[in-house]
Amino acid sequence: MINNDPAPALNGEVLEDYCLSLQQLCHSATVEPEFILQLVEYEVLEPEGERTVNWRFKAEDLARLRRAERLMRDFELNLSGLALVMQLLDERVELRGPG
Amino acid sequence: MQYKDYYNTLGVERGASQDDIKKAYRRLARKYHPDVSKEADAEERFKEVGEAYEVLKDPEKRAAYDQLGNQWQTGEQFRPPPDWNTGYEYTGGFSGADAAAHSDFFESLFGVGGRARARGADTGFHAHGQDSHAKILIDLEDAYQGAARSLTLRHPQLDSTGHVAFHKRQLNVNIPKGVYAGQHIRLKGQGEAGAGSGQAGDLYLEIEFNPHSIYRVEGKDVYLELPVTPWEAALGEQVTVPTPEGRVNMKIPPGSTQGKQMRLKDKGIPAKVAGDFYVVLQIVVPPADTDKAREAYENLKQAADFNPRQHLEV
Repeated sequence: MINNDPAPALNGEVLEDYCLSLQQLCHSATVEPEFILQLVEYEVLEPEGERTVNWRFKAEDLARLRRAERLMRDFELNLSGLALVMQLLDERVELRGPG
Repeated sequence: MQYKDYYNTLGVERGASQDDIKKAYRRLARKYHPDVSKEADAEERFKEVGEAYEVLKDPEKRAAYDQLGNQWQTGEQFRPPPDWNTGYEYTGGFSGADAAAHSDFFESLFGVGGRARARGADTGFHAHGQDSHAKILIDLEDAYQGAARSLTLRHPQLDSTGHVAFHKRQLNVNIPKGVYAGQHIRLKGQGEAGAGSGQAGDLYLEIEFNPHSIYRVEGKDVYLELPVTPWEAALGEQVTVPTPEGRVNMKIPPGSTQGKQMRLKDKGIPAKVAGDFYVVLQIVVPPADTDKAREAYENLKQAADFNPRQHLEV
């Protein structure tokens, strides 16, 4: 009988509190560090840690960063506009639940 | 492929000014942008709107598109004329929009040539591949028992002619017992390929649960709403309750009230520190739809002498 099994299942490492550094975030989202610095300045992203080298971003910050990029590009926002939009979207999610 | 009437998509006339087109786009973007929209088909609509705007806002592309003429309707079978595109050069590349999201129609007219970034194999450039992130959807039962799950990843990749193709990759992943939403599984070497002889990056999969028909999951804790009758709540009762691990017998204590939570310790997700399983009582009022039922209610009314609105003083 021909074995049509797909590729064998991979085993990975389960990570409890997966954090990204500034560098990892830049790589994953293909953005310049300056952009992320600005987002942190405007509190659109709020990493743990005191200095940029120590910053720890949560995995959902990656999605948040991409959303920020899209909004800025598609609505021609400046940073303060973006920060306001992100805040209002956060509040809307809290009011009605996600999705 | 199918023709797309971009003017129609933006709701403007063929002779519309650039300003009209910009205004139409902005209005539709606010309505359909997936990050802000409340519409059901927002993502699809926004892609259409974005593509239409990309073509019509650029005078070069708009001229080329207009050259096709106005005799087609959206959806009609279409092929670009053979000498299409001679003499037009597209400068300025594309907007930040994801190049891989264009329709076949757009691709056939405008390709992606303006944006191809050469990644020659013989440049001697070696780099560690980037890490990728994706979500993997699993069922609650998978977290209790472990499972093998597959997911399909799509990477946009430039082929040799500079066109973007979707490279699909199917992966099978072992989901270990005890995982919960928000955790990540790191698969080494399954991220983006490296350049030259650089190593591939890692793939991080975020765990997310499919909504369950009867259970609700919060972190490692699992909740079940359990409908009970008024007499079961008032008098107490032994009941059988489903859990992801199988049926469990429980005692509802007498004098239970609506919303009472009963905890089955460590019966939540079997993580290193296991979560708990909570049964939440929902008292359901049986209808008074037979004479016997009505009589029973009347008797209870007399016997109970109970005013739940007392504190409202009405």
